[in-house]
Amino acid sequence: MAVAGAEEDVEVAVAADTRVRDLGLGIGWRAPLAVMIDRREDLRFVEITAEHFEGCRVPAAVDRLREQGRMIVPHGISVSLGSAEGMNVEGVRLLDSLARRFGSPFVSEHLAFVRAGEVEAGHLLPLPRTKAALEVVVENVKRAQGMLSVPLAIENISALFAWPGAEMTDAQFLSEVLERTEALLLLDTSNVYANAANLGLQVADFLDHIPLERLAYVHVGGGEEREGVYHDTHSHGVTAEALGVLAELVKRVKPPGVMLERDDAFPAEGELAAELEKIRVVVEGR
Amino acid sequence: MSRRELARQQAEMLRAIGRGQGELAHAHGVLLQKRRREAELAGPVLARALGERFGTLFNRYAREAGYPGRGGPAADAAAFGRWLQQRGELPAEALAEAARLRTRTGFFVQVVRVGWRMAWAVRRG
Repeated sequence: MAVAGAEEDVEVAVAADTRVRDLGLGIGWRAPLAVMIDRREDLRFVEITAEHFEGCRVPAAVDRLREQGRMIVPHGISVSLGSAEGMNVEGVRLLDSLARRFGSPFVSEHLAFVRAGEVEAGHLLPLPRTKAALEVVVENVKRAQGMLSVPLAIENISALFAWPGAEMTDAQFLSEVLERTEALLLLDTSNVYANAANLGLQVADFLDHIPLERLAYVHVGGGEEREGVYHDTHSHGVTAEALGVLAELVKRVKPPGVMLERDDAFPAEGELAAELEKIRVVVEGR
Repeated sequence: MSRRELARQQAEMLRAIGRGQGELAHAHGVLLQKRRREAELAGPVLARALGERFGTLFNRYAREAGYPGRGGPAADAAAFGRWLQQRGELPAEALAEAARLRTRTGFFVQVVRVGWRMAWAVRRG
């Protein structure tokens, strides 16, 4: 992993954007983790996947976290901000209704598309890094922002493939979207690592060229390497390499919030606590 | 390049991933694996009843049927149950779960849900 350019940025600043809140350590809320999250009062925020709450009653365990003063951040996976035929407006409404219900500081979605030509991918897919795609995303994001009562944070994804004919780097594309829409940034450091391992992204260079002053919070998810390809599974432990990206980020900015993503193959509480501790140590440096 | 041209390219990319040939074989495999796992979680009784056959049968189903346009993994698991039933392969112990998934993701329930959300949005202004 290239780290050139990191040394001169040792003195780091807290994100300058006034919409950003100090969230601390958090985790993605999943029903099998509810008891552990309830017990761990040091987990000061949870992210909920909006689509999991669609058309059903919000679990009492989540309401209880809010009553305890913990922040709830609604996170979307089906809005498809990068769909040229238009995003899923209902998904934006769902994010907003959850944000209002929980008094959330912001909501988040991905820089990706999940549907086209009436076909659902069932997964987040990368966009071509072209001026035309940029125009589409900016237009969609602005429309979404017009429907939301709280700021929107946009997340970088782990790309399963790269489109041919890129006119911009990953950092340029993400920066342009954020600058032109004034959106906040949700940085997934494991996705940065995945793109470095699979598609040759230069980590230090990427972090040096994205607007970190817009950073709202950070995702750290587990994964594994199979047959030379890194898979962002969220069902394995966090790898040392993905934590290395978090360490690179911490050299540049103090993240306002950092959370663990674990979606499947839930380990025993002790193992999960160890994962959280690894993250905390990297962020706090001790 | 216009929005329409990009829409065409995105649709073509999804079709190409569905075919899973050449450089997109990896993306195809990842999407199929994710889809299978989510259907397994949405329909755990069916997954348990099919045991080791779940993977092979689901892959055959997925080759014939695209990811559902609405309802996510629950709708996919419901459609898989229907596909199995048509072939006489739906295990008896999974009948109740399949019926529940069908009801939850059925057209009527979806219409009511959308209608309720729209009414709520209008009321809220």
